[in-house]
Amino acid sequence: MWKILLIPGMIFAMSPLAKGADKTSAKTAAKSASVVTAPSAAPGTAVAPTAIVGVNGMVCSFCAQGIEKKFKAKTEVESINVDLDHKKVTIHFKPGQQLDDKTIKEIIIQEAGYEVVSISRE
Amino acid sequence: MKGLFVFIILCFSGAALAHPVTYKGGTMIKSMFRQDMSQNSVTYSFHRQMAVGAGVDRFLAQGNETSWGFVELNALVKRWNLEEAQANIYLTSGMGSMVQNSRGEFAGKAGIQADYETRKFYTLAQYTSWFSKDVDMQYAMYRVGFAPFVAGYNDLAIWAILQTDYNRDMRKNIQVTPLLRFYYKNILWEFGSSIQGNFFGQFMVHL
Repeated sequence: MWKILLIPGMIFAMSPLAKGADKTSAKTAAKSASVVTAPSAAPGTAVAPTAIVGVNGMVCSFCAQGIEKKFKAKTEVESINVDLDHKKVTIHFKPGQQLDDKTIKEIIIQEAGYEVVSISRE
Repeated sequence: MKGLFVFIILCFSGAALAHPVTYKGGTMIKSMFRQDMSQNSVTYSFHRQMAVGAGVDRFLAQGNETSWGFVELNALVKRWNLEEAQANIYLTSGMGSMVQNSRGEFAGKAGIQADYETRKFYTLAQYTSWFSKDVDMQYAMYRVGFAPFVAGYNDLAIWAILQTDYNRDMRKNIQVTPLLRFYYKNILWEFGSSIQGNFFGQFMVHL
């Protein structure tokens, strides 16, 4: 019977959660720094910026659904495109809004479990 | 009506990329069925490396049916995110009860799973142990699969998989099961039949 109690306890003890490895994901810090004002546009034009994120480990559309779900939950995001062929996630923001690199990395690394290799803006 | 029909078909076919932990905030519903074994579970990943859930496993071994109900705790111990591949090691566990011949007793389960996957190749090894005062059962499974074509993010993906598994309490022989896996967006299902004629079906959805 000792196994019944011991094994879940061991799993929890071995987990990164118990080791405090997730301290970097500090939710409050991310929230406070999550919105970046988009570059100001010429009068009369709407700015709809885009971030292109290179991601490692994205080999399966079923598993990568978490990335799409997480970004779609952000009010700043208009739409998202996941490209498995080029290992890129393209985030289209609403006019005048963006997410900073820290927030993008937190969503892809800390929440979805993938690795960010590059972030570029258009 | 058409949607209900599709849902029923999915439920009674199969699934299984079977990551015991998905993404933070993700819920996974999984149902596996074969003639002498079924597993149904719901898990919620409260962290990208930890999930809690509940499940019921049923086995038919030598004429005796055992049903196991668990509260589960799963962990993603290690993930390798490579440019063209992903590999994972998971630990799974459960605490609950086992019912056999209308008699229940305290029970547990523990397992380990390792997988490696590219967009064309997939392999998985899994070992699980169920234990109670009177019953001790081990189950080992190995899978290798390939995709006949590389599917895009919004395409239906199709995989051909060969599964071998062994449970000494249920069968004398290793079961060899060719199966097909399909997934589209957040829904995945698999079905096949072992060369001994044992149907296999599995369904999984990420919410």
